[in-house]
Amino acid sequence: MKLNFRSFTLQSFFLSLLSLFMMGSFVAFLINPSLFDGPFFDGFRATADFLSASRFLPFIILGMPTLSGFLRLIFNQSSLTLKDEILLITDILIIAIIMMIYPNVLAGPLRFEFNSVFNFGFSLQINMLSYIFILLAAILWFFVMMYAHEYMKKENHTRRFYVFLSLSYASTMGIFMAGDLLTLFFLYELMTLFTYILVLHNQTKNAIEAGTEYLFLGILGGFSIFIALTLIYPITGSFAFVGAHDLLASEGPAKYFIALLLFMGFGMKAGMVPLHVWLPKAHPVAPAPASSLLSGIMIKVGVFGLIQSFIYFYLPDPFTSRQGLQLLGSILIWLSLITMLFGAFFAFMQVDFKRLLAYSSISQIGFVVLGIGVAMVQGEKGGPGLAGAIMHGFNHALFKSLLFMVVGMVYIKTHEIDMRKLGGLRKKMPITFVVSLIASLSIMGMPLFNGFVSKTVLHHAIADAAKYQSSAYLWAEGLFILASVGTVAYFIKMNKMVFFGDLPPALEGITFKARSVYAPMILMALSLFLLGVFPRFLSETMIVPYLQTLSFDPEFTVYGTLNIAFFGASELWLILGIWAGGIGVYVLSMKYKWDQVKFPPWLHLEYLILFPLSALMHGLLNLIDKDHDVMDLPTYQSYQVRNYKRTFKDHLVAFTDTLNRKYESLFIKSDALIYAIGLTLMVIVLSIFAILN
Amino acid sequence: MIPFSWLELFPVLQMSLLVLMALAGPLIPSKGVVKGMHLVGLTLLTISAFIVLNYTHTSGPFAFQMGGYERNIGIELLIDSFSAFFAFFVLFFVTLIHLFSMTSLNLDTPASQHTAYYSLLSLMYFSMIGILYSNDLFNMYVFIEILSLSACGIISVSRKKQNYMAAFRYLMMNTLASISVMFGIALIYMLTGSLNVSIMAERLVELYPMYPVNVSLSLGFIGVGLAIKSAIFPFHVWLPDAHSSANTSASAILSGVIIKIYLLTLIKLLYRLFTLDVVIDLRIPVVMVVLAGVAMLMGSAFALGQKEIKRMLAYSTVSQVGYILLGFSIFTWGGLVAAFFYIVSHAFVKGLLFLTAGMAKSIHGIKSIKATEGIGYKIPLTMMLFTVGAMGMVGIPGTSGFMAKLQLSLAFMEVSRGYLRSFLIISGVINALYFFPIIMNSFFQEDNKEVFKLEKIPFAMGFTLLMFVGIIFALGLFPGLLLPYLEAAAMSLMGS
Repeated sequence: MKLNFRSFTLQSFFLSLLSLFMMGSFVAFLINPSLFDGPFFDGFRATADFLSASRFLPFIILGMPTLSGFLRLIFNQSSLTLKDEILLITDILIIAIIMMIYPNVLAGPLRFEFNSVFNFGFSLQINMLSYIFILLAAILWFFVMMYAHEYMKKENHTRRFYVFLSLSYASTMGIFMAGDLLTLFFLYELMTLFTYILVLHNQTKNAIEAGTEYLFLGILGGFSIFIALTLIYPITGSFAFVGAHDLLASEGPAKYFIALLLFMGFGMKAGMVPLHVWLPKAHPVAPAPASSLLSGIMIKVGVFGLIQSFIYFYLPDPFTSRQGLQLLGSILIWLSLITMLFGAFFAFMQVDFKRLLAYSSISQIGFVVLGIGVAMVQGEKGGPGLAGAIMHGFNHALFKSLLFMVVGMVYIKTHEIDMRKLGGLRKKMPITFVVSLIASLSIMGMPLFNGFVSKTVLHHAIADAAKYQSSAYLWAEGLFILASVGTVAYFIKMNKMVFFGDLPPALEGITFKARSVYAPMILMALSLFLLGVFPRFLSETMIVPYLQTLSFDPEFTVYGTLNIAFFGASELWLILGIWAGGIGVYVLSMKYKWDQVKFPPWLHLEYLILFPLSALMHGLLNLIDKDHDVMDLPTYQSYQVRNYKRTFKDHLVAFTDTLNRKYESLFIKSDALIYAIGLTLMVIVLSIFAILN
Repeated sequence: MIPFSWLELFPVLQMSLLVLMALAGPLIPSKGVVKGMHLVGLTLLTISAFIVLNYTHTSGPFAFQMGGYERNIGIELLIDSFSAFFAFFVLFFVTLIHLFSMTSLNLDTPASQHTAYYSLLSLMYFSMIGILYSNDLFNMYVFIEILSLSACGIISVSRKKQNYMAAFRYLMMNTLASISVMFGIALIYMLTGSLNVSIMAERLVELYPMYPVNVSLSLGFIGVGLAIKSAIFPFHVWLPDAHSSANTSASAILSGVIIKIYLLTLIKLLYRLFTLDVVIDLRIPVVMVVLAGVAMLMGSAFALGQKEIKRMLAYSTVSQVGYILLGFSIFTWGGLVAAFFYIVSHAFVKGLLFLTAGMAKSIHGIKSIKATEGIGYKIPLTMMLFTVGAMGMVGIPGTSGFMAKLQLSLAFMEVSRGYLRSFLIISGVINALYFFPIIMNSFFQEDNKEVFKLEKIPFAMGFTLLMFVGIIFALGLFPGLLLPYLEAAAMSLMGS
């Protein structure tokens, strides 16, 4: 076979070998740092020390992706291979830098402050939590970019797409590194704007609608964080993420209000019910690489924000009174359980491949937030809950972006996203099938895959909460298991519908050769497997060292994360039960056609919110002007034809417009009268004063 | 006695130069020379204003007696951090706009009117600086009159039917306002027997307990008069017509600085003439909060229903006046600084929006919001600049609009009136509701297959727009550049 060294496939293969080598040595370093003693490695260490001490580091980590997007724009005339190489090579450098600074981050958080910006300072910090997320983001970005080369060949507007993709990547990295709430908010808003362009990339009607909804919910979320930060500032005197809990703890009801606002702002980004409405619309319409990153890392922004604000504003040090914290935590737990079940249920009802995955993201984010809630409820025994949350966030990023890659592969091969029209693809695309199977097993919580690890930790955490706090959490544990059953059911359904069964005749002749997409997919599937086989690796090297720096009980943290017998009999029996349940649900639903139930449209959340508002505007309009043009109230039938939002805005505009016209014409028609009355009144008043004086 | 410095002649020289330019304009036959003369003159003025600003910043305020008469009857100019800063701001702003208008005027105004337009503008600048500097009420009143009349001329300079209508309405409302201000001045003169603000304030301290009705009536008359002139909500009726029918550069000046001058006069009189105790005793803050809140909400809501871009921007100005008034209404140092920051920020943001909307209208003939569909591909640069302005208006962090809102919110928190922020949020969301659809329409139209083609923007216009964008981002990221001046200005208002 003749090798063509200018082909993207070969180059990306070498790059993935390089990345594999880098990750291998990184893992080796994590396991046994003494392997890397010696004069040869002193250069690396010196570089890492220099970078950590200088203020360049955040600029490199944030600037390189931004730069790569614009470089791609500048080299627009060059070959596609070169343009995509730019993205990969810059990201390899970032990964290398991030890996090198591991010992420095382990020794203590790195802070970078720029005090003249914003008048309140712009600061970035890399602690172990940020480190986990930026490493994850950098690696995911590398794989997704390698994958995107093939996918984006057929798309329009690619220049715009890559610029905004890299900008959203940079701002996401920035959020993970934010050192104070104002910086975080700044980057949060930027990210909303940049990802908005990714969502409406295709510029179809659905895409524009989803984008608009995403943008406005993003702005609302931003405003709620904005109020929260203006509330926090007078209490703590700064926005910085340094322990402010004592000041906030003495504040009383205000802290609950702040917490609520932060939940709203970050929960919206994470896709928590009931602020999830944008997610099932936005993720499916974006191109596969974008939805892969959106579901993989960008919704983790919400999770990260929740964890960060919880740790810095609500985690007492030392634990004195946790009354308020428990209340907040229990609210978060029940909300996240609703999110999990809601997501799982609706994922099961979908026939659209991408929407299924989007609802699955909502459900999995519920698992993550559950961990944060448990950490709040448990107080000093909260280590395992937080560890589970971080771990599941990490794992979910890996398998969900892999699943979106699978969808992308199926889509570019078949141009079909409706699962009812797919089937039997396992013979046509065996590698994709295996990868999809691995990712699905992982998300379903199969032992030997990474999803199992984090779900086990979370399950132990909620069980401990029931043990130490209140027996009400036994119900929570039950619902947790129910959601896991749901996950198993809808992923069986998905794989069955897409890869098993008979191949539809329309898909007989599909052919598609693109070897460059397989390297990232296989490597990611491999990482899912390895993280599952070594369940303690991630927590041992990164999460537990991070949690030890917080005020949690260190022994309990180790007990709840590392000392679990992952492959013990009780865990395996539980998994067996969950699988039996999942298969049962699937079989029963296939028999009785549960997944084809149609809900009445008035049950839709948006209709329930927008209808009263429209009705209010309608009533007000009737009040000020009886004979305006007839405008019907939105009915749920009109919701079905998808113009319900327009009716709400129309009502608002009609009302304000009529009011305006009435007021102005009143003023203008009676110009002379008003002047006359005004002047006479003034003269009268003046003369009265003249008489009085 | 502070030793006399030749720098203290600068304010008078500035005003004389402006009058001189206004008078010399019609005598010069060549339009190019007129434009050049104004450009050079304004640049010199801006530099001199900056020198004066730094002089007051280092060596404190100074007063200038015109003709050397005694304070009680003479004309007094008081140049302190407050007036010097805003004089500099006005001159800087209009110099940039002037640069823009050198090209844009050819597009939207009949050639026969150019000289008159520039003369009127110079008169307008003259009166604006006069209002800021003067420390006696009668002089201030005269300048207010000159400003109203010259602004009326500016609006009608395009010689179209709608301009005349708008100018007439503007004239009627402003005359009413002027009369009201005059009554107020007369009422308070009756009490104090002087027109010098500092002397009146001293005498009012004793007189207020004896004649509270007189003072409150005078405050009411002056307040309503200035409220009409600065288009505070129920009195805003003249503004949308006037601002939307004026030509591009004039609408930027009208929206950017002129209504702010009246607001600044209002707050100056409240602090310097009536003093804080009287104002609080008369419950003026409550009135201001109510007016400001209603203005913010209704202005935004009315903007939502507009069909024309420039009218929409004009209604947005109505709501932004509410923001500034809300900053003033809490009567604290933080509130003042935030409101001043808002004034500067809004001038540049709204200026940018009016300039780009005016370009779209005069060069490309795009007037209505409906016509913006897909124009992001035809005039991408203009629409990108418009987007920056819209982001500033909505308050996306990084732009000066966000910094202004943040400072306002923190100022409300200081006096534990956090609920006032709900106005900011609601109005901000409505802002997003009417600004973003334009941008979405123009860039992300359904199934648009057109290719980006960058249009050409004439150098002078491009330079001004670029400066505006630069200032918006610079103030958004490094507000520390401006804040020392604003803090000194607020201090000089509070201190006296």
